[in-house]
Amino acid sequence: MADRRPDFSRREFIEWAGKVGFASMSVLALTSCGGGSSKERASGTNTGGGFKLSGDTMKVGVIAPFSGVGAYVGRIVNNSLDAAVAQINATGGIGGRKVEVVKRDTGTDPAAGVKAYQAFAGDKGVIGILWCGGLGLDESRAQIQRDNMPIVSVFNDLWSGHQLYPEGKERSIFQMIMPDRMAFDLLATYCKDDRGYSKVGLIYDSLLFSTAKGYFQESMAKHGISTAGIETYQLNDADFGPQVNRLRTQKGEALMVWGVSGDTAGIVKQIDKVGGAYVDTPTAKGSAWHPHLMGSPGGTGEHTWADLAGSAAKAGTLTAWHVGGLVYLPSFAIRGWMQKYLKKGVTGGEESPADGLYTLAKAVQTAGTTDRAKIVNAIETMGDIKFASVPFSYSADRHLSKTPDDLILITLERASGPATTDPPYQLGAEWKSTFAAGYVGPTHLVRPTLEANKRAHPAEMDEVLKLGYGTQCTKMPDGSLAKTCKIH
Amino acid sequence: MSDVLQIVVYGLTVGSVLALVALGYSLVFATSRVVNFAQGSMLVVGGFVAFVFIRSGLPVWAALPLATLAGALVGVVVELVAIRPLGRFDPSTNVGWILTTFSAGLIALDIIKLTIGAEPRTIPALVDSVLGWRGSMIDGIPIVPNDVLIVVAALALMVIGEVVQTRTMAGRALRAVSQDQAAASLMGINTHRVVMASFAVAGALGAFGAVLLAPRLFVKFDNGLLLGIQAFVAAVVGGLGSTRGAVLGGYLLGFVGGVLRVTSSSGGQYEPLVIFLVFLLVLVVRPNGLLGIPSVEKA
Repeated sequence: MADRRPDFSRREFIEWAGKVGFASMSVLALTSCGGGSSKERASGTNTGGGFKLSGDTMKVGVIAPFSGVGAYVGRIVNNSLDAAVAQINATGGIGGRKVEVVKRDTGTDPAAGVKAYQAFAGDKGVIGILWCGGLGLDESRAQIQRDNMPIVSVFNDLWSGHQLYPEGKERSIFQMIMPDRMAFDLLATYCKDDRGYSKVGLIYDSLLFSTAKGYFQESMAKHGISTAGIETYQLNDADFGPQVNRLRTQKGEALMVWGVSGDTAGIVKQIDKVGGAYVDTPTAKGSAWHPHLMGSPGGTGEHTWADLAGSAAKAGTLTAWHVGGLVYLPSFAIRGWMQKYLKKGVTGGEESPADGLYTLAKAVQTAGTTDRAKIVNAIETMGDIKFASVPFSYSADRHLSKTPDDLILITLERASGPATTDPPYQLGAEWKSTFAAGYVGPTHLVRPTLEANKRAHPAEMDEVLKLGYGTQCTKMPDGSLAKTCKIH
Repeated sequence: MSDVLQIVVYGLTVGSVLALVALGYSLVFATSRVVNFAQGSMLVVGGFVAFVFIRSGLPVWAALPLATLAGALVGVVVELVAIRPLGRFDPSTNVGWILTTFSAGLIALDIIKLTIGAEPRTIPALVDSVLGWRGSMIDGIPIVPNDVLIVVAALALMVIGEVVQTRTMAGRALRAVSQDQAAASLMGINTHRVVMASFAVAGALGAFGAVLLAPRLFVKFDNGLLLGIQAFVAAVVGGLGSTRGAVLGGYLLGFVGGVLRVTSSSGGQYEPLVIFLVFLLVLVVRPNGLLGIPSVEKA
């Protein structure tokens, strides 16, 4: 869904949160030297203690992995915030006040995240914190509740585990990232309503995505879909033969693969080896096993899994994402800011830290004070927030920026052209404007969620339709999109 | 029948994967009595170097020896920066080597990240077909030429290792250094050179293994840490310092994993628990591993 760049991608930061936990455990077990180093890097000037609202710079804390195996998350956060801070300050600030971010590195140590939080909580000048995938959020929640510190959880998913306010206790935490539980629900809806599948299987990484089974079962039950096998594997397994063989005997019409891209590619290759590769929907519903594959955002949500799986990666493989992640849309500002200030292209994900920063700064302007309770109240009541990509909002009983209407489906396509279907379809404008020649990767599948997306983001969806972004399937004479494109 | 075959296929392929990496740990331990915690990183470095050669247009068969040579050079560098500066030391009491080898591995990974990138990569299989055979399905279980090559390579390397150690002057020097560095030195053996050679061979094994395993595990950073830890456990279970032990340990872990996965949908979740139970059991009953040679306390 973004410019193709070799260094890091959306997949990587989604993978990060789980991976880093495992890596840190392993490293600590090996070296027995877990002393976390918390490194402060300030951009702009440190205002020190006494923060005065009028004329002062607004200071926002950022907790993210800037080093270690999750450093690529930190690079996304850096790029996003550097561009956003430059844009805000170059245009006179927010309410006349400039913004400053103070970044703290969690590395691979949850204790470093806790220490970083405590340092920010003790600094009266900090108006709020962006928690960008760094460890230590769970461990800090009790203190966050006591402090009433405004937190935007940029890459940490509390909602899926029923831990985000009002289900959780911490009223001052707000979430940006699309929750996994919502992604499962969208895929289940699509299976049932769009494709008519009645039997769906699951294979998931029980180490990094231990909650996937519960979300899967919940969404299948909700939509009356029967389960065609649930299998587990562990990160970096070398063989998926036993699991794939059992799934084959269950003959599910679709299969959800919930893990990171490398393992997803291994599973897809194994399915291909046993002759079970996806062909199209009628074949998936036939007597032989050719399941329609649907993956996690960190698995089939970007190009790496397809690069690794090669020809075993089939067009039509799906996952869930959100409208704000269509960073190639001309109206989405983050792309232009990164070009203007950093001379860099977007890779996906940069919209979120920037939007989180703006949320906190705008809330201070709205509240007219740095009182934390009033900032939280302002975030809940200030209505639509529009900055880096799509508008979003929070309310007193909804601390998640995404709604089901924000979610989209993305599907694997190849620059060499669309799969052969009857009726035919064509690739979207991004394949000419953004993706490199020979690119293989996911792209927006417009039709299935179009009506819902229009409700949430009419202007952006109008742009998608008018400029021809995304796979729009066959256009009927009346301008509507056909629902009969077999491959999708 | 199908389940048994599935366990055998899983055990042999995954066991061979672990054995290939475990051999590197074992070899270095045999000469220096240190565990080279950079071994996992060598797997990553070798894989990425091979990828660069292939991206530049070389066929995988030509990239293999070049990557293996590069792996050997990295092994030498690791020895020079992580072990040599420690001087003469008793690895059982001076454990600085844990940090130095681990750090050397991390530095190697960072260099790869900065120069080649951190994206996972794929490289072609060394063999797609053998005399027209491109793979078979037996009872629904696919068997492909590259998997057969992984098994053959693990067993062949074990045999070669055994023959070199028992039938050649270099092997005898290696065994002498393994048993008593000081005595070996007095006998005219250049112990530094032997230790360095073991690091070089371990690095070469890492690179060789990376190319061989790429169709299954791809070329990615996870392999260094995760596969490295599993292979280390395999080497210890089999007996650190023993070539046969490394292979036996790899197969033991592979078959344990196969039985767990074939008998239960969630069996993989219990693999770490069961493997570490086996690990403890073996070390309690045979502290030097299944085929390890007991150390002799000198007066």
